[in-house]
Amino acid sequence: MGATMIKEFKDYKGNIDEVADVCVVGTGAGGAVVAKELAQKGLNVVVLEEGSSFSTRNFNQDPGDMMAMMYRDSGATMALGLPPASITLGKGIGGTTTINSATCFRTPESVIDQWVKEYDCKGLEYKDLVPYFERVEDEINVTELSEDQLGNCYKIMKRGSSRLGLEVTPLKHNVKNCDGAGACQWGCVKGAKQSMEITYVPRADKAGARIYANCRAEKLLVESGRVKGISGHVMDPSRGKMRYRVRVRSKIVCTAMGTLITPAFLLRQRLANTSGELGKGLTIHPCGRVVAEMDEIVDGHHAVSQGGQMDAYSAEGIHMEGIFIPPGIMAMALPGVGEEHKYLAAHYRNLAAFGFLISDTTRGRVFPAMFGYSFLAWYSMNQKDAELFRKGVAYLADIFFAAGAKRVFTGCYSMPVLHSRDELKAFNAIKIRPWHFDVMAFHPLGTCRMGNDPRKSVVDLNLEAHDIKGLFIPDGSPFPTSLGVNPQITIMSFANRTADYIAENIGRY
Amino acid sequence: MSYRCLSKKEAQIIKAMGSGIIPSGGSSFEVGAAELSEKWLPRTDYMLSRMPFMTRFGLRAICHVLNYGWPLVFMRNHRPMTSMDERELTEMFHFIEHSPFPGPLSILIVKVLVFPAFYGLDEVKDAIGYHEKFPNSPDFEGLKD
Repeated sequence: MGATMIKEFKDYKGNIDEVADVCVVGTGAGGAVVAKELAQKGLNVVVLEEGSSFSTRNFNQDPGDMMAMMYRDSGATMALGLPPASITLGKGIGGTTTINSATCFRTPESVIDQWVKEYDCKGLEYKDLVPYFERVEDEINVTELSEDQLGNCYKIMKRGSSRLGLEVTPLKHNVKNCDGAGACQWGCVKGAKQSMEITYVPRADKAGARIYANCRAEKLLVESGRVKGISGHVMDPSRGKMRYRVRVRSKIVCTAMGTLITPAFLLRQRLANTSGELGKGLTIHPCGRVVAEMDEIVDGHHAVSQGGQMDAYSAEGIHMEGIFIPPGIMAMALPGVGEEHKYLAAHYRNLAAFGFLISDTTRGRVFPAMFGYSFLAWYSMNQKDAELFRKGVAYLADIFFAAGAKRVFTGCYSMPVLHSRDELKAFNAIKIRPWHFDVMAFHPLGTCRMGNDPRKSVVDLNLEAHDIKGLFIPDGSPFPTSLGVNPQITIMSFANRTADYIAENIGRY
Repeated sequence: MSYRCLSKKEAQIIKAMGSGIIPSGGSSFEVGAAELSEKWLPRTDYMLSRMPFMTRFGLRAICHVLNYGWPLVFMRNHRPMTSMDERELTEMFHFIEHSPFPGPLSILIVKVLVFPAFYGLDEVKDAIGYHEKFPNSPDFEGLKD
């Protein structure tokens, strides 16, 4: 991170008392953008981040170490339900952008239309968002990579899908000089991923924002329905204990803690919830992973983690995206114990994998933080989504068989291995229940829904809370539905739009 | 060996889990989890130590329950996992994995506790032919809290 002035635990000698125009909590895709944009517009900005500041100096490409170091709760964050869904979150400067797969999509126009028509978002127009998409894409260098960097999984999928008359296309990534190290989710070892801790956060710092790592926000200070600031504690990262007090007095607070933590934070204080919608409406994009054993050496880990995509089934709510992971994590997705397991581990280089996410119709809920957790979430996948999940697995299995796979591993406990297309037919016919699948999720959204009507939504279209003047929520929580694609660009664009609104209206606060 | 959060007994249980799911020998690769337990168990311990208290406590408690519960429920066996040999453990895990729900889901606990720690060891990476495309950054300093 070079010569940035981000303060960390080792720099603190006592309580922190700050006065600012705007206090931003969180440095992920939402918080970092708001902080940088407002600081560059000349506002006095203070940023609080609960996690530490990490860089290539700390990245060793080992999933076990990296999850323990910079994933919230060592990667053990999940939504309870049947099945329980693992939802990994980053904790550190850069938030989840430090550990995501650098995949970039603009918000689909159809999703914005749906929000306008069905979710009380009249006034939101796709064309107004386009300049923001362009701006954030430019800031983080969204680009298309060559086939070599996309890797052999991409080529295998392309081969299989072309035999079925389908098309796989390259994903866009926020990278610069990417060599396909294949460690996107464990902190890019080459520093190629243009995540927030490399782009927006240093730029915010350069523009004068005062950035404090290892500071946990605990209480929003509110008087007469107006924000007065925020208080919390400096956390000792090695012990997880509170050390010094933090207090920031500001008339505007942006809580960009993420879809799971922001509502839990507000619910605990019984704030911003006259609509009764706070914490409700959680969507997570349940994700499946299908692994195939090939005759050829694939070396899927020698390329970007997510190479290609297929939108042939997007109308059904299934979006295919590449995914490849190191053996310690891959092994969890594969069946078998003993020699059966060891055979697959020894043939790791022959494995190809691809994933999919579904636009879920299930809605979960976030509850106030308790028992030492930063949130509690409930999400129990419904039968409709389970059927969609099965379809996603089946479509990918079919493509892998067309590409010449010897075996396909479904991630479904009822039928974990398929040896042929005949077995695929059987897989399509078996009775499926939601808990038959190993479900992961990476894109929680929707727990502080936006809308025009304060009785039905938590924030307005500028992402300001209906109930509390000066409280903005520029993270993934205001989006009323699943996007069907990775939300990084959407969160950043809306955050940029919010920053513009704040800058234009700062005199009103 | 002392651990950050695991007791000696819990370490033994997790070691037993590892030795059942990745036994030594076989035609694929020689090394098993038991013989490298002194290297991967501290890694599991580190991961657990960074989890919230309730998760850590829950996982540790589950280890004790499963130590007796799994052999009893699935094998009608009153011996705990820690006194079973590799072959028996593998057999039991195989049985659990092929049992109805929630058997296969419960085996995920073993995988979470063993695989990320075990497959990050250099010996194991060599054994399965896994090598990262690039070395760590030249200015790599180490992990950070």
